[in-house]
Amino acid sequence: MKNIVISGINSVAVCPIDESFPADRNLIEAGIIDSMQFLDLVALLEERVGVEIDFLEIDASSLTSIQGLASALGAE
Amino acid sequence: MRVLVVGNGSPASATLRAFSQHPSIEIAALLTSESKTATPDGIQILSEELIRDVEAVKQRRLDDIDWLIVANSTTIIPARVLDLFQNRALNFHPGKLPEYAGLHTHQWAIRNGESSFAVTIHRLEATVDSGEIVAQSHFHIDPNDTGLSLFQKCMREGSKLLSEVSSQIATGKPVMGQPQDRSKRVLYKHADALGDEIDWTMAAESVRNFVRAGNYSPLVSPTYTAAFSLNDGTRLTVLNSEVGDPTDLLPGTLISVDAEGPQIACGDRKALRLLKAVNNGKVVNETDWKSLARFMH
Repeated sequence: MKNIVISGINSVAVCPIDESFPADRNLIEAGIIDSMQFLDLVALLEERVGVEIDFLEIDASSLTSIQGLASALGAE
Repeated sequence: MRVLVVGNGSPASATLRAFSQHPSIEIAALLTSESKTATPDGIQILSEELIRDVEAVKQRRLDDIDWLIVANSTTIIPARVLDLFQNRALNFHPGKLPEYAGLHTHQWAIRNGESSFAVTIHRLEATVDSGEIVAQSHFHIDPNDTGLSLFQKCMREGSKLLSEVSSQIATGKPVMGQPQDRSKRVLYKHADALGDEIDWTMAAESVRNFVRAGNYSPLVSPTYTAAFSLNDGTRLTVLNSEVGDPTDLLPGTLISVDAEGPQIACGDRKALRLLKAVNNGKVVNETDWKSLARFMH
């Protein structure tokens, strides 16, 4: 799942990241993606994995890291 | 058939994907402000600004198309350019029309206490969000929806709706429209949505709606995040709240502080309990509230 998330990030972000990027780091604060790209990333990952992440069911602040996204996608 | 797509994010991607599934459709270009967009391969990507320049549009033959689809763009297209696309331009508006035209309308829907909302595809006219409605998708607003969660719903529903309308166009089905009821039209402007000050004289439920509409956590709200100042000048940002106990105290008065958060009197003899507030980037806890209480009315 982590690889799917990284590949999704690289589809929307201007500067690509690889597996060495810390999985718990905030992608927005790190400047990898901005707010609009964050929403695109969630939509893209939802489509690729085939699940919908409901922002009401989950603390959206957990979704700003690779780890948070991977667990949200895996847990649905 | 040739189409031109202007837009950003998942609505633009969904539109392109729907068109690219039809061999009879040629996508002239995607005009976008994003530096990188998830698009099918081989699509010409140009700057969104081009759509404001009538000469550039003509020079690149972008007016030699059957349909212009504007999918999630806030660029105002000048009338001179719109004239090139008469009766063959559609716009996706992430809001319910005619009641919610303009900007940040999903936040206004929450502020206004609405329990349902919609996204709309309409014919593009020179007046903002005023053309005939071609398709609309209605959905529920959850009592706990925030500005961000409702925006996400709008983008999701909008992407589906754009997919449907794009497929309809690609398969040669007629695009029918219904005129908007102008008497119901309300136009929301950016500047109207910026004030962040909590008005404690409002009903507790209205303050709660104001707070959640401004909550874009973990992202930055495009308009405001609800806030209020203490007597010592400390500015507290409020992200989450609930309607609390009945009270006879004056609006803005601190009633109590406990583990769940402080209760502050509102204008309808009810209190609002602040469930999550932030001071300089740090969440305010019970101990903080007890020390801050002396600076509250």
